[in-house]
Amino acid sequence: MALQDTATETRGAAGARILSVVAGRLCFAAITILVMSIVTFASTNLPPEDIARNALGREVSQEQLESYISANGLDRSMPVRYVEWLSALVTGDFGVSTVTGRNVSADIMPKLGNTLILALFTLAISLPLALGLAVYMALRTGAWQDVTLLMVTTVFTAVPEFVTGLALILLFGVLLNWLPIDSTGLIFGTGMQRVSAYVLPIVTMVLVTAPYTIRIARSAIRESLASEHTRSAILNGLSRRRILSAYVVLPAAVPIINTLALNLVYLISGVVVIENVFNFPGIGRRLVEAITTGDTVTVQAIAVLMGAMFIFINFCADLLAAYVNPKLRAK
Amino acid sequence: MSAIDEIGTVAETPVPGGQQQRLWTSLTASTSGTVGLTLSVLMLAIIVLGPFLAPYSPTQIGLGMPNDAPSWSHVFGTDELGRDILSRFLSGGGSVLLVPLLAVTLATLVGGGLGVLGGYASVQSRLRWLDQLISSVFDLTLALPPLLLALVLIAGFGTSHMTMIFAVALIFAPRTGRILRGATQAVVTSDYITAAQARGEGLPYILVRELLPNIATTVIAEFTLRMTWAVIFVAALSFLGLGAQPPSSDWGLMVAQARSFITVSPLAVLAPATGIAVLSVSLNLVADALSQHLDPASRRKGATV
Repeated sequence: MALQDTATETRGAAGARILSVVAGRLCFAAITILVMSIVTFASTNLPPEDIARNALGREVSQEQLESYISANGLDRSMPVRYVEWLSALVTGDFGVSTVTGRNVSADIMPKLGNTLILALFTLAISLPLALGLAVYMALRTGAWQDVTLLMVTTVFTAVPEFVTGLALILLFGVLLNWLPIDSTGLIFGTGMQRVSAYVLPIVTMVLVTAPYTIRIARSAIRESLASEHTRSAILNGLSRRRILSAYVVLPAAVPIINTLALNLVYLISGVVVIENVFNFPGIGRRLVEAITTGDTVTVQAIAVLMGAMFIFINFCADLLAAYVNPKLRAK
Repeated sequence: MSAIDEIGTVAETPVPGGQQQRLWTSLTASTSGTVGLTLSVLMLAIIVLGPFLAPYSPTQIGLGMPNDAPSWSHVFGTDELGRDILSRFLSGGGSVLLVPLLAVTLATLVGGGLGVLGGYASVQSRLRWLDQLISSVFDLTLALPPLLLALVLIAGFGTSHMTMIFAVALIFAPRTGRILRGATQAVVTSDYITAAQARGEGLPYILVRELLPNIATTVIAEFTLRMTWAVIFVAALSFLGLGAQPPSSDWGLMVAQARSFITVSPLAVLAPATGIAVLSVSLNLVADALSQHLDPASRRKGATV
């Protein structure tokens, strides 16, 4: 009875510890999102006069400017306007663009959808491919297959992603003429044209994300291949399949989860460059377009939205890694 | 095995000449290091000497027909405004290398400086609060999405080389700082530091004269690694049209402008894109060779391959 009591007690203490870890991480994530929103607002916040001039056009009198400023509350201090802006964002009100005159959330939500389709398809191809190759390479460490693949991953991690994308466009779009050279088919095309517009962007993103995963997973798997528990599993005569899944890949989960987070984070924010290579109608391309046209309201909305997603994914990965690894859980 | 012993003895007796010797051997010992070094020197030659070798002015419009194919007078052909692509390529590498160089230098000075200070403060009970403060600032900055941060700053402060240098430095500073904080912690309890403290030397003297020479190799390896990322990052920003502005012949911008004409004059994309790719790959090979030789653990792992 007494023994059982102490057991529940320690379990309770462990539960409290896990809870405090989760609370701590959550707190940190919230602070980070707040900092991101402050940096965004502070750096893109124009003087009230400029905002009024952007909205009304060049040919306006001083009185018109002043009445616009007071009507829209632009004469209040920056912290007050920041709080108002942030509370509007939190309730899903992204405002109206002063450049296009359109409702920002109606403008960016379909584009966010396109980006997410791109990201999810990439992940669905990149992750299994990378893990499979990593196991294959780890089992053949030092053989020519491993050395060649390692060299290929080195090149693809060192080449800028837009160069990779353009090389694919030159090869499959211009030289072989198999695939469209940009994503305009997504907007104007039908059926097959729409599908084929996704192919090159996805292939590019797989080629950019997979090498990182391969390198990290390969060395993590090599480490667990060389470990005592794998050797004892081999000596116990377990099947090759069971050894690989339970004794080799599972202990390598923490670095792989971290890489997965890195991938997701890349797919959400780094997709900006790839979308611009292919003129893909996604949120990253809209962000760059908004920056070049001085569309501050849209820039602010997209930056905070993407920033929050980025930070949330990192938060989830941290928790998942802590859940999988008993050592981290104890900390 | 002998290589590992050598590292051990060199680390115990810090001789400035020994460190330089070690850096050089680490670069030339491996094939990839040699290839990286050779390509880096080649790219540096193109970037530095290119502007003087360019047959035409890089910004002169209408030198030939628009989007003309390669010919004897225009070896790489002409772009959409009839400018000579070879001349633009030869004179457009400067900012591709210089902007990252300045950004990483700034990041190393500020971030690295704070990191070294934090690493030193972490073992002094009176100064531990300083280390905690610096580390929390690092953690917070690291948690922000890098590309978004740069884009937001550019949206606010406009597209200029200055904005880009500061944005990239801000992003890299905490990353470099963390590495150098760790390197400092590893040597800060050494006897020569204690001796300098006992002699009553001031903090600047201890950090610059005693500590810095002993983490110099880590600083150099870290600097090279950051350079490869900075080159990619800055080229990507220029490609997005948020770095160098027309009529500059910056390689990233050249690629962006020629993108629309990729079917008629592919060389206008290919030449600058290849330049960027070769530069970043060669820097990457150099950085890999340096960090692998500096870290005996990864070297030993490599030896079993």
